[in-house]
Amino acid sequence: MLKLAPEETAFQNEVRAFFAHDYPAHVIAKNKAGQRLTKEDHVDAQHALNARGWLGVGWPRAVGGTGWTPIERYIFDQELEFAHAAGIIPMAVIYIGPIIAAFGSERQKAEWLPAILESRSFWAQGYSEPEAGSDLASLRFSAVRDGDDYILNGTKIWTSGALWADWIFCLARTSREERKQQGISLICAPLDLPGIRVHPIRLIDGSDELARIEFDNVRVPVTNRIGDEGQAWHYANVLLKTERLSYAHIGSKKRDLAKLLEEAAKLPARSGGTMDRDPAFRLAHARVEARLAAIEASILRALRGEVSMATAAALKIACTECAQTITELGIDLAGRHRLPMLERDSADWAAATPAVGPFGPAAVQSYLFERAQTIYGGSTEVQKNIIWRSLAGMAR
Amino acid sequence: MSAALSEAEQAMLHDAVRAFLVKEGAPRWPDFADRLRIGAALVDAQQGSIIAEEIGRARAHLPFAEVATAAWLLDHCGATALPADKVATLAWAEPGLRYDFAGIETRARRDGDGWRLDGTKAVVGWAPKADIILVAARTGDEGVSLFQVDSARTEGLRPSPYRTIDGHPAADLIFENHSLAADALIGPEGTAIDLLEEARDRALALLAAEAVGLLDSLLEQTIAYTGQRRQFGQPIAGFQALQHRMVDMYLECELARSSAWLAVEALGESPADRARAVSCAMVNVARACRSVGQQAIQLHGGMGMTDELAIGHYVKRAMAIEVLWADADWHLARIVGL
Ligand SMILES: Cc1cc2nc3c(=O)[nH]c(=O)nc-3n(C[C@H](O)[C@H](O)[C@H](O)COP(=O)(O)OP(=O)(O)OC[C@H]3O[C@@H](n4cnc5c(N)ncnc54)[C@H](O)[C@@H]3O)c2cc1C
Repeated sequence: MLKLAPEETAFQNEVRAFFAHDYPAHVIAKNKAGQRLTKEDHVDAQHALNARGWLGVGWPRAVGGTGWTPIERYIFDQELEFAHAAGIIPMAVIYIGPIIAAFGSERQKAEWLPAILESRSFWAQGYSEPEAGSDLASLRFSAVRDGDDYILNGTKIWTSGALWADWIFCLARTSREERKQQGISLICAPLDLPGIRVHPIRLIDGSDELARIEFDNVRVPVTNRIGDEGQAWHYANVLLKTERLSYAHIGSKKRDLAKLLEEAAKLPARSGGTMDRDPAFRLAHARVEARLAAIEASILRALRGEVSMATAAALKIACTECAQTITELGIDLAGRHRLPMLERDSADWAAATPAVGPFGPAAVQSYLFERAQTIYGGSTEVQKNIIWRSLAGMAR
Repeated sequence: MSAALSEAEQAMLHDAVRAFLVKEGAPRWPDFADRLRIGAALVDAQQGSIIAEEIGRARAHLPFAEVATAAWLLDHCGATALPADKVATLAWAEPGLRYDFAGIETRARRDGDGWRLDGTKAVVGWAPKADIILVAARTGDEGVSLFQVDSARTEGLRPSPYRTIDGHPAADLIFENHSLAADALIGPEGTAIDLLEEARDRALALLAAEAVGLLDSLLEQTIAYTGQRRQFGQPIAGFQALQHRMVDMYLECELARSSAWLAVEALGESPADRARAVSCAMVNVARACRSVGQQAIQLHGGMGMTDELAIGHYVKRAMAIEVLWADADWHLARIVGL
């Protein structure tokens, strides 16, 4: 890590001590054991953070946020990941919270933000639709004004965490305009309203945290709209930049790389010995470490200065591909131990395969799930299109 | 070995297996083995590779490579042949070894006329459905021998069944003082390692062929999907970035096909030549499995991540093929002679 100022180092020590002493140990234990966390685990984790005033990351102090500098936030993220603490579920805290704080009405701020901090409400992000993925602006989900209400109709898909969520924020078309980016509004709805149906989607890693959500004439008050009508594209773009940088997860990459070495010391290698001595594995490991060093330096450079859209896109690609490479190293290390496909909900999940440790089955599920990193939040191809748009000037 | 098939006979076998798998959807082993009369193909690598390729294309859950490997071992040891409708599998892997048979620690010791078996076998494919399990075990200090275990006799055998990522049944097997009759030993005592090496190369040739069908299908499904999926007002197959990725997939598929051919052809060669050729082939097959699989998911976007779509299941079978018998690093080391 690049040099920290003395007060930054002091902050780092404070955060480290917090995770060691004041954070729910059972959450850390489960994470370390590769057991899936329940909603209650996340609530416990968030309560602990909130008690310390450390949950509202990216929020201004005035609404209960941390008011951290980008570097402080980076230090916090890194320590959280080093500690094997639960990742903050981003939808409410990281994605919509700052938007409510910046563009929401006083009433929205007073009602929604405290509920998020106190873990009374979990949120989901309703952007994607079956026909609007990479081409998000072509969305069809409609909000039609009817007196003081909007009537919502349409389908949202790939909604992460919808099964735990109480609210959803949706991009909705409120009028047809020439440019398809216009006429889109940001409208929120409680998920238990009549006319909303949530269908879980099972993924290739065995998880089912995503959902398809159907809205059939769902009525919400106009006061559930955040900001001005038709301006959601602007708000979403403000949000997207934070979303893209939030994929950095340098701490968990370092942690996962360290974990690979630890596991390698337990796995048999060719011709006796263990895999931590295997030259092919060590070289591959070092290659990722070198790459990660450059990525971390890039993130720190970005955090200390202004981030252009192209930089954010480039870093999104670098960070997500690096995370995928680490999971790939994991399945390569696991070898045949990557074969068992296990449910990881109970504490003794690994007992199903007495001849194989928990590492391989967990590694293969990470590998499969992390294939999505280069798809969501703007796919790699779409990021490259963005970067090219800013380079294209040089070609003329 | 039976006489080589003519081109026309090969095409007929392809068609017959393909038609059967399309019609049956979820075929069961006895029907598959009986109706297609695959008896000879179990020990003939050329016929076997045709069947394996079609199994790959259909991603059929069939223990073909497992049964063929066991059948060949029984045949080679002069043991009673396996009835074609029975499922047999070989248990070689253990928690304490990576891929080298020399690391086998499961032990068989003499007990009167028979034997006693102790040890742990890891991720034995199709063990829960197998009638017969061939177990590789150390006898004496030096040698490894092969034993035929009747899976119905559970005393001293603790199986932990589960599914693998490709949805196939598998189990860890713990043997504790499991007793075997004298005739459980197949082949000469203490000399099974060379035999196992040859069996592995035969199994790999079949898996390479399976990969050919599997990867072809992944490419076809991806081309079809990107041709029909519209974003930004056009089919996404219209984007050159995606076209080139599919071209890369095609290249890997072509090399995998040649690799499978190379592996099958090498089976009759001397052990050293055979090992080298099969390992060269498998390095390429592993690479193709990895990259074609990753591209297929990426090009399907969110759809590629769902359990509902076939893509993910094909990818997971490809991931299994990469490591069932050895991984690319092991093959590279074998080529280099390390
Ligand atoms: C695990 C996971 C969690 C998600 N969570 C959420 C969530 O909480 N909320 C939410 O709203 N959405 C969520 N998403 C949806 C995600 O944002 C979309 O999957 C993503 O935008 C891609 O859209 P798509 O799946 O429709 O793929 P498509 O847009 O159909 O893309 C398919 C392929 O075409 C390529 N492609 C598309 N356009 C171009 C182009 N112009 N040039 C070159 N290549 C192109 C893509 O890169 C991709 O390879 C999630 C997705 C996943 C997988």
